[in-house]
Amino acid sequence: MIESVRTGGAILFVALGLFFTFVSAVGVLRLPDIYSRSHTASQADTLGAGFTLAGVALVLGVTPVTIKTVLLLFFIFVTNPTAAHAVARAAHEEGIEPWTTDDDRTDRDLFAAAKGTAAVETADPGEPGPAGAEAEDVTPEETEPGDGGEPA
Amino acid sequence: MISPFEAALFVFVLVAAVATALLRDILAVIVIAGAYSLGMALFYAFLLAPDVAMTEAAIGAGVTTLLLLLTIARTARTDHTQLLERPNVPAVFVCGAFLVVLLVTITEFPVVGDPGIAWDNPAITQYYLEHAPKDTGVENAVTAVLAGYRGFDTFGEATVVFLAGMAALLVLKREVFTNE
Amino acid sequence: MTGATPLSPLIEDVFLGAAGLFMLLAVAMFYRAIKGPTTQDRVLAVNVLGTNTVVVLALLAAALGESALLDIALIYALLNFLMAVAISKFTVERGGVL
Repeated sequence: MIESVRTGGAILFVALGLFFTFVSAVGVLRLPDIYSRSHTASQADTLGAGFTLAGVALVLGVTPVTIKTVLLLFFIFVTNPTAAHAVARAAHEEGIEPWTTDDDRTDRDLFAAAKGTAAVETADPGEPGPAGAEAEDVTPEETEPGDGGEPA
Repeated sequence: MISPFEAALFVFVLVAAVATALLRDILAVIVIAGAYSLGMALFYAFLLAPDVAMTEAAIGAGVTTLLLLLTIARTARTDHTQLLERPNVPAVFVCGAFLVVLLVTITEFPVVGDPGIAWDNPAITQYYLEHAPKDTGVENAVTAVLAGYRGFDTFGEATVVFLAGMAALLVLKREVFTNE
Repeated sequence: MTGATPLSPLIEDVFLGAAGLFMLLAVAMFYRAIKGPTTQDRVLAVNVLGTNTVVVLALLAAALGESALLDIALIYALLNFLMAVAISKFTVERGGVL
């Protein structure tokens, strides 16, 4: 009886973990800029890893080995958001502009604009001139997921 | 015979390797080479060689990434306009031929985890398995051989690794951290 | 398995399957790691990928009954964090050289 509850709980936890990791993967692939991606990477991914590790701990039972799993869970809960924060901060220091709802540039344009305005702070985000000029060298393809992605 | 997990792992390692070879941006290559190392270590872990997996994780994903990062921090990172490198056709051909040769030899290997094999010289294996605990007082036969029977060899290896680490630190201290 | 109750074969199958699915998600993450477009995107993708790897190692440790894999998972978690922070730190301090 208790055995089947444990098994069912472990499977439930792993399924939940898979779901949240899937959400995080979709977020990293689909969201428009680095800041929103780091947000999904720190939240959904941490939750997914936490659920799955909880499932693993449930299967291992009350053994000394489980302590390692709990330690791992703790590490991931501490380090994952910290790493995402460090990455987002580095992006900010490098001058990458956040995506806003009133512009529909791709992330490549954002990057090109960031490169162009690193020294001068003047270029208007709506100005397609320098961004378009830099993006010319790159093979023109409009299948960037940032394109049509409309965050509801 | 091949489990879905192994199949996914194969795809993972293959994609990482090809991306490492073809990407143009050096920093991206370093980052993805770290991911490749993670995949390889997973392979070792899946084949129940945790010690090798641990080494691969520490060296491949940790130390190598850090050393390469320090290297390009010191040297220039060229600006790039295209995403992918154009592959060198003769090199691809040579690599492909080498790969075929390696693949041909795979059928000669024993099955993973086959208990019947004791490698080439069963007598020596049996000798170590029987005498190691008594001779060295160490219960793990691998540790006994590594630190007991060939202790001087291991000592020499440790010295080499230590010297390499010292040299790397000295060079990096002078080249990177005292810059400007 | 050290001392605990024996696993039902169902759990082993489910965990191995879940590990495979996690690997597939990690492979999907390569799109972001290769495409970029900025270095930070790549670092973030590899960080998520590393977290997936840690989870896969934990699942394997439970499914194969090999607790040594949890040690590797611990090392991974720390190295993964170190790599992301190191690259971010370099990028900031070197003024965009990296």
